[in-house]
Amino acid sequence: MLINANELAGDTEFTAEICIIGAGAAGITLALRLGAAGRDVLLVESGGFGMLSESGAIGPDPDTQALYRGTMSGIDTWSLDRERWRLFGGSTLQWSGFCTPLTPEDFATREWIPHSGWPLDFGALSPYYARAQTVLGLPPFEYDPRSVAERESKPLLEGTGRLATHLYHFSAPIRFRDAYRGPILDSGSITLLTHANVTEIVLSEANDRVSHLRCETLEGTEISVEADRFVLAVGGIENARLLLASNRQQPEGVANSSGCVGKFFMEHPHYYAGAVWLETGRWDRSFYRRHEAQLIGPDGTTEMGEIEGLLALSRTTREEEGLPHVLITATGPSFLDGSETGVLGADTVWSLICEGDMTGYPLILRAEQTPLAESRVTLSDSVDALGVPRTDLRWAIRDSDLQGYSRTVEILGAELAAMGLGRVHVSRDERGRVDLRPLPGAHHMGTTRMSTDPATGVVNGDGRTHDAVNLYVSGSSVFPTSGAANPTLTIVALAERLADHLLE
Amino acid sequence: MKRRKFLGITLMSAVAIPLPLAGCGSEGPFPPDDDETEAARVLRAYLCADGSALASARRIGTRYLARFGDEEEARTDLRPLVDRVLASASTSDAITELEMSVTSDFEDLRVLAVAGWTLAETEARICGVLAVAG
Repeated sequence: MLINANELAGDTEFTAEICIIGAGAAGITLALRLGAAGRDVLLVESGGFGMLSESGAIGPDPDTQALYRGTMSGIDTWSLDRERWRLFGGSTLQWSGFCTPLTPEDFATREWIPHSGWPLDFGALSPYYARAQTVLGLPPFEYDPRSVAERESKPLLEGTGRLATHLYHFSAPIRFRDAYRGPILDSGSITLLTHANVTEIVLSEANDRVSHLRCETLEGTEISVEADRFVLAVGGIENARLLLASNRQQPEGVANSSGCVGKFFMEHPHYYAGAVWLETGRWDRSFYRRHEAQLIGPDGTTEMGEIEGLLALSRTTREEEGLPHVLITATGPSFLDGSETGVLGADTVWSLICEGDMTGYPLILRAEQTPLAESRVTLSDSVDALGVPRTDLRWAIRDSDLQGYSRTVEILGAELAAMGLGRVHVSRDERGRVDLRPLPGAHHMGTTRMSTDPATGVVNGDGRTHDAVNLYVSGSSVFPTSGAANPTLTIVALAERLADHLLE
Repeated sequence: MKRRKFLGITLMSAVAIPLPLAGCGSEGPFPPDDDETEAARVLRAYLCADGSALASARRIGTRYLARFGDEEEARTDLRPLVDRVLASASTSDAITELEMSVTSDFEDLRVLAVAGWTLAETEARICGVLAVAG
């Protein structure tokens, strides 16, 4: 059932068994799973189904989207209302479709990564990764590059043992707005309430559970929502914002006795680090370019899918060197194809090309960021059109991470040279480190992190907040560490797992 | 492709990279001794370096040597390479040994960055000797 809050006659109260706040990838996945089990679900979404922009593309309505505006007091990143979209389907309307799971190591406590360690391991999430593949329109869950490469008779690059390959699948990309609007509206168990903005999470008198939500339309209609359980699924920045802004009863906000809400904000910094110069034709890089391949799932299901291998340092090397996880792309487009010539300059590139021996490719890093409490979401002094304090994002990266990225590039260069394949050239700063200027990946993680200890996290391993027994959080804000993997597959897998938990 | 040709191509690219001018042109950072001069002859053969490639090797070498406090410190660093080259039975043997040394450096991560390139330590010292005596 669809209810447009803008069309309500006046102030209204809703009740449901489970209220999900946010109809993005996590919220929609949860709603569908719970609705299919016959649970009474209210899915509350700030936006509508979008509108045509001047360019002819579908996008959020400007007034609703403006609720996302905020400030940035740390590393410059894209404006807060650019990469997050406030409408049914959320940011899946503009995501790239890159999918890979976190590695088993990403879930483990690593001595060289402070605050690392999830309260669940890869094995606990594996079955849900397989379900997430279906939700995202992907082929079966097979991410072991060795078995796939062997099946394709394509070589993997391992160097002297310091390199490893990670496998990516590519969703079409599936747009949740288009793919799941029908199933949501056709469900007899789900009520989708659009254009309703949650302005406050109100706690019971004992402050140990959520009593109700206060919502409001931009027109001024007030809505109250009561439910047995609530799931906050509005994204890595907004989850924290809403908890912090609900501070009438507790000054630190809801579910924030640990003080961790908003802290440990992580991105996947992307870097155009320089160039890789390879002897033309020497390295069969076919596995490292996007291509169609046969994939076989754990249940034996076979399907073709689009995949690509990315390089990284091996787990052993990262452990020995104490390095974060960094994924490396160095396969195109080449400078011959007109891509940026990078730090060398056109003349030098041309002289190398004229030699006819080497082809240059941009060296791109996609990096894990070590959790850092000072990298955080806070509330700014200004408020939005509904009177809710806006977000200030202070994105920061540990200096040790920057050193680690520099060392990763150094080791890559040594490995390629040791194999006689080519050379790495990067620009360096005055300290001799690779000159890295981060571009954001639009992956917002860590601001309501998981922990078994209520003193060091916001939610437990099931996603339930430590402080409010009927409040859960879904999405990348619960990630204690970021790994280097694009987060969407893990977001959906965690939502699937939370659905099972709520159904128990 | 031989790794020394990789380095040669690396050096060609150094033409366009602004480097400190101290010691460039016809003079090196400091006057070479006889051993360094003799070793440089072999090293030029190793790199197949002439013309612009040699100039680039000297530029990279000059940049490498700039990290040392003084001439004595720089010479101390280059000395083992010079001795090893001169101790080889022939130019061909020296080249083979240099190639093995470079490979070993990369495999054991004895690397450093000079002018943006990740070089083996042996390669950097080769350039250093050429900067002095090339």
